Amino acid sequence: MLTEQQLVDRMAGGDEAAFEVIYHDHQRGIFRFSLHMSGDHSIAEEITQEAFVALIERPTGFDGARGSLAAYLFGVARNLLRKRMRQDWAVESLPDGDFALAAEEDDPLDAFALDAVRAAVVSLPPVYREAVALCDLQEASYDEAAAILDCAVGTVRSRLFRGRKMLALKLKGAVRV
Amino acid sequence: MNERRPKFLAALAEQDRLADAPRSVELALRERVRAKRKQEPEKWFRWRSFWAGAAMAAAAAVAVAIWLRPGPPAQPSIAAVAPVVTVTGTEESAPAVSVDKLMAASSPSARPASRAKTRLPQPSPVAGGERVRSFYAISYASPELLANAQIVRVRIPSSALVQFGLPMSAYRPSGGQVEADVIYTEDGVARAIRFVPQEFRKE
Repeated sequence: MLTEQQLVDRMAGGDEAAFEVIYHDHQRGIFRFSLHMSGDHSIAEEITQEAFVALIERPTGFDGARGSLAAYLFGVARNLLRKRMRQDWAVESLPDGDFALAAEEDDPLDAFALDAVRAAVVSLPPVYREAVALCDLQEASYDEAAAILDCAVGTVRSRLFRGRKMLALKLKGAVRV
Repeated sequence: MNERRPKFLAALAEQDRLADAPRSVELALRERVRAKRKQEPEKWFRWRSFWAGAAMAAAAAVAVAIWLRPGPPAQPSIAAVAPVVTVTGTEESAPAVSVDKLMAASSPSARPASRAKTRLPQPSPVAGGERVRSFYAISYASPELLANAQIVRVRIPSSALVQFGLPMSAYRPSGGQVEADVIYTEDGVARAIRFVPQEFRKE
């Protein structure tokens, strides 16, 4: 069983099998994170590709002794998103109720309601959006999220709590919270 | 950690659970990896070429340094040789020198004495009645080279007499210099010398 570092080294040498293992282990997480952060499929696609290109072209950027490959790739994707959406990061969260939809409390969420939820997530301030995207949508542990976001576990918890609360307010009346 | 996750977020996570990057992303990345594989040998070749070039440059630098290294101070060609010659006559005016002795006395390129018994060209008397003397060997020259040798009259420091073991009184140098005939072979190397005494010099 090869370590992540060995896989990256092999991929850097042009080993397609190593690339395949790495890509299939991590592409979905990176793509979903980018999608939840940007709310845009094409941006998510670009960010995913650029994150892996960074790994292929500058494999020395990853040091297996310092952290997991997932944390490294999420970190790269996060930086790319930050650059890409610099304008967006400054946008304040939208007022509550913007995503209110006519829906009964016990109804299952339909596609339309899910789009509203996605839009509400994207409208969150970046720090809360990251916490929600990683912990609630990616189902990462607090420790993993803290490693990716380069902050304390307690910070992740508080951001997540605050993000959920903001989302509940935004979606009040639209979906069953 | 997700025990308090709101249902709408759980529903969204479920919907995106199988969301993958498009296949085109994977293909593009795979192409990059292939390109890397092609680059690797080129990179290796480039580095090998670089080091080979560096090694050649270093070797050339060492060769030039050796070539330019200052050697021992240049000696006058006459002083460089201390020929052992056999003077066949007691008369100062006509010492005969055999080539085998000359060879033994001359440079490191000297050949075994058994090679030849040729005599150095004995210069004929110079017009005007100047008496001839035998030549002292400076360096070995093959008979072929000596066949086309030229004699050149030069003035050299009188100290050269001492180096050849000759008495200054017999030559009476003027102004610290004495005249001498030097045999030059075609390659421009002085092969033999004879000194011209004062009384025999042409005025």
